[in-house]
Amino acid sequence: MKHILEVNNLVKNFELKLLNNKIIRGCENVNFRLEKGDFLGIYGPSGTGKSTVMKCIYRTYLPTSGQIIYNSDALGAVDLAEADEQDIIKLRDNEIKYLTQFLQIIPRVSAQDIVAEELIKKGFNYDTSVKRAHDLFRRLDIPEELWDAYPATFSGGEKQRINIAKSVISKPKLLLLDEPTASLNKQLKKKVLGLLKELKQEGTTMIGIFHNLEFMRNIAEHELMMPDSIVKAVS
Amino acid sequence: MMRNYKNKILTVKGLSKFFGERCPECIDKTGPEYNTNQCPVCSTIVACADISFDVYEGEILGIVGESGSGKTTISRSLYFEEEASSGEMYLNNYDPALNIFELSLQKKRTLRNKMLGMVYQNPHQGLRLNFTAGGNIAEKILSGGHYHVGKIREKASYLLDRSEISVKRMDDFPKNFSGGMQQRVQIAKAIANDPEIVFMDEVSSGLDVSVQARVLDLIKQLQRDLNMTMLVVSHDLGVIRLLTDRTIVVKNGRIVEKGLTDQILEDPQHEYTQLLVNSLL
Amino acid sequence: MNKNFGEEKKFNFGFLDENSKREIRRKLLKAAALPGYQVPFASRELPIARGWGTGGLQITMSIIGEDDIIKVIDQGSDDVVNAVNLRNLIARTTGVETTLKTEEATIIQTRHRIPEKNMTSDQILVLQVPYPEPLRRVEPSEEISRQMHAEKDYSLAWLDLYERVVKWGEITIGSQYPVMVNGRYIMSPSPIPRWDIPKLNNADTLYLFGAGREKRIYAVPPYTDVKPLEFEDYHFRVENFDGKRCLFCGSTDSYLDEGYDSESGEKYYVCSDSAYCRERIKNDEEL
Repeated sequence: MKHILEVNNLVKNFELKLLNNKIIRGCENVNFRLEKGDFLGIYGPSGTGKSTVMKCIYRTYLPTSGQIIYNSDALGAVDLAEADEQDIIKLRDNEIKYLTQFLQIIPRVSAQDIVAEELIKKGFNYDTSVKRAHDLFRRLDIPEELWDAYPATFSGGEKQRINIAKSVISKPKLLLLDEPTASLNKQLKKKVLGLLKELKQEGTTMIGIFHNLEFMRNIAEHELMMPDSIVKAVS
Repeated sequence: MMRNYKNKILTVKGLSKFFGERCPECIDKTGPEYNTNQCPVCSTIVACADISFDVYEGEILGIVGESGSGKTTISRSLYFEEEASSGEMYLNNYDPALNIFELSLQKKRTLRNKMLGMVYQNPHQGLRLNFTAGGNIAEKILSGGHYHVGKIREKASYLLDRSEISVKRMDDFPKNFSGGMQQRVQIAKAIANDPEIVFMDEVSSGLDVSVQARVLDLIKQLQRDLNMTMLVVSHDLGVIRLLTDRTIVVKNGRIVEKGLTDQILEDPQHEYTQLLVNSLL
Repeated sequence: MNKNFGEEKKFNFGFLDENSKREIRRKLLKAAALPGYQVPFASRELPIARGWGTGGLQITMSIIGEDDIIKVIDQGSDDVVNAVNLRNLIARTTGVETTLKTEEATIIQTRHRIPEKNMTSDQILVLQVPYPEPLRRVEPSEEISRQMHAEKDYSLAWLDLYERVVKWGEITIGSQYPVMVNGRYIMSPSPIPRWDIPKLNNADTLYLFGAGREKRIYAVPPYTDVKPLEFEDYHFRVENFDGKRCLFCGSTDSYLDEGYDSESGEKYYVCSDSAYCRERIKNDEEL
C-alpha cells in the first residue's frame, strides 16, 4: 500500500445519553488518501467537524463508522478505527503525534524536559534530547531564560511554541495539527511554517486545521472543506 | 527502556466481592441500571461483580469511580487485603495458567512480597512510622528474601534519591516527615522489590495541590524510567487524565466503560461516564 | 526411688491429675511434630506462682516416670533457691531419684541455660520460658503475630535486626535471640545466652519448651535445623570470653558469669554451669 493514510467514509456522531439520546453530528462522508510527505489542510467554519476528523484519526473519538487505514512502521497497515488500544498507544508513542491548541502542562516539568521527553521516549539520551529541544527553541524565538522554567505561567503564544516543539522534535510519521499558529504573530507564523515545510520534506505526513485559507495554502497541497467534506487538490 | 506494549502483566477475570448471605437475585438486581449495590431481596452488598480487565506492560491503567463504585474493593482484592468472593487473577510473568486467588495464604503472602507493590492513600497504612525511612524500604526488600545489609542500604539510598528525598534522611523517622514526603517514601518502598505491578489507591487525595503535583510527577517519571506497570485507583478525573494511558470506569460495582483515557474523557460512550465527565468543575 | 513417697501419698504421681498430663503430652506430641510452632495448652495451677517455672514444671511432671532421674538447674546452677525448690517438689511428688550430674540425668529442667556437656539422645531438656512469642518485641498484637507465623511473613522481625545493625553496627540482641527452626517458624529459644544457641542445631537430644503463664508449649526434636537469624554481611556471634577464665576450674571454653569482689575491687569469672565446673575440678584432682 503506497498511501500513508486512507480514510474511507468516515462518520462520527455523538449520542448524548443525558439529553434523551440526542444525536449531534460530528462529521460524515469523509474520504481522502495521503501519500508520504503530503499535507492535507482542513478548513471551514466553527463547529463543522474539523477537529472531529483529526480526533477520530488519533482515536480520541471513536468513529461511528468508516475506516482509517494507516500504514505504520511498527505494525504494517492498521485500521485505526478498530485497532487494539495497545496498538494505538504504541503508535502514539512512536509515530503519530497530535498538536492540540492546549499544551498539556505536567506539573513541575520544565519546558525543555517536556520537549526532550519525546526523544527520550524513543531511546535518545537526556543530553542529546535537551540539546535538540534547545535548537528548536532558538528557531521558535523562545528566550533562553524560559528553557528550564515551568510553562504553567507562560503566555499563550509561548505555550503554543513549546507545544509545537514537542510535536515536531521526534519527526513523527503522521502529524495532526490543530490550529498550530493561532496565537502567534505574523513573524512567528512564518517561522513555524518553515519548520513544518522542513518536516514535510523529510517525509512527515501532516493534516492541519487552519482558520486562514490563504495561509494554509502556503503548505497544503490538498484541502478538505467542512462541513461538506469536499476534498480537492490545491492548484 | 524498550516496552513491550502487548505483554500482559496482570489478567483479572470475573472478580466479585459480596458481603452477606447471597441469593440468586443478587447480581441481576444490583448494578448501575438499578443504581444500587445492595440486593433488594437478601440485603447482600455487591461491592463488585464480574470485573475483568488486563494490565499491559509499562502502562498506567486507571480505575475511576465515585464512592460505592467498588474501585477500592478491586485494588484491595488484588493485593490480598480482602478475599475475593469469586474470580481469577493471573500474573502472566509468574504463571499464566495459575489462578492466584486459589493459592494458600502463605503463598499469596510470598507472592505479594516479591511481585506486588501498593501505595495507600494514608501513609500510616503503608509505612511503619516507628521505623526509619530506610528501614521501611528495607522491610520490603527483606520480605522478598534478601538479607544483605550493605546491599539493602545501597538500594534504599538509590530509591530515596529517585523519590527526591535526601539520602541524609534515610535514618530519620517518617512520622516527622511532611505528608507529601511520606507518600514519596511509600512509593519508594512499593517499588523496592522491582514488582510486576504497583497498585496506587487514591495516592494523592488528601495532599495539598502543590504537593500532589510532585507526587504525580514522580509516578510519571517512574513509569518512564523504570518501565513500571501501575494500576491507579482514583475518584479524581484530573489525576486520571494526568497519569493514565487507559481507564476503566466503575459504578455500583460494575465496569461501565473501558478505553483510552483521552477517549473516555472527550468521547464518553456510557451515560454514567458522560455524567462524570460533565461534572468536572 | 524415694521410699518415703508411698507413705506421703496425698496427691497423684507428678502432682498433676492424669487428664492434665494427657492434655500436656498430646500438646507435646503436636509441638514435636511442628518444630518451633507454639502450641497453646490449658496451663494448670501448681503450688508455685506464675513466672517461677510453672510451664517447664508442667512438662516435666507430664513426661516423668518412676525410673527417671531428674536434675534441675537455674542459670546453670543446681544450688540456687529456685532450682532446689523445684527439685524438691518434683522428688516429693514423684519419688524419683535426683542428681547434680548432667550425665546421670534422664530429664533436666532448666532456666536460662543449656548444660555445657553435650546431651545425648537418651536425655530430654525441659526449658522454662517467660515469653514464648519471638515477634512480641516488634508486634504487640497477638492476632497479627499469629498471622505472621501462619503466613511465614517475618519481614518485621528482620527489620528489627536491620535497624539494630544500622544503629549499633551489629545485631544487638543478648538473650532470646530469634532462631529459624526447620526453615519454617521463628522461635524464641528462651532467655539462654547466645553461647547456647548453637547447641540447638542438629542436636541428639529433644528440647521441650514450656511457658506456663503464657500457656504455650513448643519443641525442637532431634536433628532439626535451628539457625539464628543473621545477615550475609552481619553474622550471629556468641559472647566473647577472650582472656577470661574460670576462677575455680580454669576453663576457657565455657560460658562464664561475672562476679565482683567488693573487698579487692576486682572482677572475677566463674563457670555458669556448676556441674561442669565441679567435674573439671574433680578431674584435675584425680590427675
